[in-house]
Amino acid sequence: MSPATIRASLGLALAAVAASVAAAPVTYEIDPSHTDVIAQWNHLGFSNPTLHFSQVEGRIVYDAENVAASSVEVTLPMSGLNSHVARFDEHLRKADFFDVAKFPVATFRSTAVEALDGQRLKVAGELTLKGITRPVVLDVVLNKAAPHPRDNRPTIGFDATTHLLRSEFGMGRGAPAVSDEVKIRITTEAQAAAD
Amino acid sequence: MKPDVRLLLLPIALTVALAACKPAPPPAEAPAAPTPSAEAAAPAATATEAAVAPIVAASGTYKIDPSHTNVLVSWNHFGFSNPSINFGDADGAIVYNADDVAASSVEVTLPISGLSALATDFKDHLTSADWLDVAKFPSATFKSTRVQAAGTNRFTVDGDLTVKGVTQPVTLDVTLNGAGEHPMRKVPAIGFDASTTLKRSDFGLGGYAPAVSDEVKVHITTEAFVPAPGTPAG
Repeated sequence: MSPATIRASLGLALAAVAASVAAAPVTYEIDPSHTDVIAQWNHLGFSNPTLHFSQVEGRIVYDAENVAASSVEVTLPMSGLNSHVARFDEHLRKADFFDVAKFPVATFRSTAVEALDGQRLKVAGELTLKGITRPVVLDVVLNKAAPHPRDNRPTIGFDATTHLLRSEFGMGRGAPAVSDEVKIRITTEAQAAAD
Repeated sequence: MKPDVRLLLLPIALTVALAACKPAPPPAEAPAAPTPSAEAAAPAATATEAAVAPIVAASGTYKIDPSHTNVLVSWNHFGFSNPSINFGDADGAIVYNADDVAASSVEVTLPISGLSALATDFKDHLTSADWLDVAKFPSATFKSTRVQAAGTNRFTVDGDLTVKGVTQPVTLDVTLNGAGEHPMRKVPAIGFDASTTLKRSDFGLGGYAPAVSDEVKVHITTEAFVPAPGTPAG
């Protein structure tokens, strides 16, 4: 093997190593300032109000080569609950709804991640709300994975939706006039540490 | 069951059933759609149009209930996420004319102080002079200029939206969700969802576009009721 060939092979080998490093699972920290969990219900058939859960903390592990090896773990502090109506927030924090004194956070932990066509994923997991854990499946769209133009850190963004029955979490008061079914829409942005 | 309880439950059951039958309300599918432009609810609505029962709403002037009215505005952030803010504390009136839809109208004031964002510092930033400049422009307003029927329980509402002192024409796609006696207030009530798309740069709020999308989606839900005679509105 000529020195030139050796150098070329070495270069290829290094490139292959670099590629495999890039394909390894990446851990992203959720950015609470660009993560929104919106719950929406129907009120007496008239309106479809929403509330938000903000201050979301957690991490997303995404493996582009082996999506099934991906995972997500999130904590939603009840201090981040915001229905846009202060008096209603106060009511929601009480024992007949979220009982935030006793249950200050909700959590979601994925149990299985499945790649669907295109940019779609199915994420099964366990949602714990008011101390009650139920299986939940999220329909997820990968919006974008790329270095963030501001700081060049690897960044990933998803939207996700699901439906819940609030009565399954001990918050069925007012149903069905106020719908038991609650639609959840999530948008999130998460960043990995700089290389 | 006592007859008066049945009478109370019937309109609730009807309105809930009607709400359940209709195609997904506009806000529901927005964030998950991979191609924002493909999200229009119109094709689904057309397909099921025949199955939708027309909602009969009483003519009258309905006062908007700020505690059941959301104006959610969402945008795209660098392609990664689709955050939203809410304009709350809406104040206004909906005139509904069942016999002559074109005689209906809506007028709403959105105080900028009612804006809520995910984080307080972001709200402060948005209401500062760089953005909405709440000190100089304390509220946004919407005044309808034309209301047209657009299929069963659907309407097209043209109007003038004023934000930060700039007035632009806007068209809302509106769905009548339900109407009937409000079970607690015992007065005629009505509820709508509505959506539209705006360019924030049209209102002098184009900073960071297009990395942060110039296009913003607006999803409105509102509930309004006819104030009982002799009681202060609200």
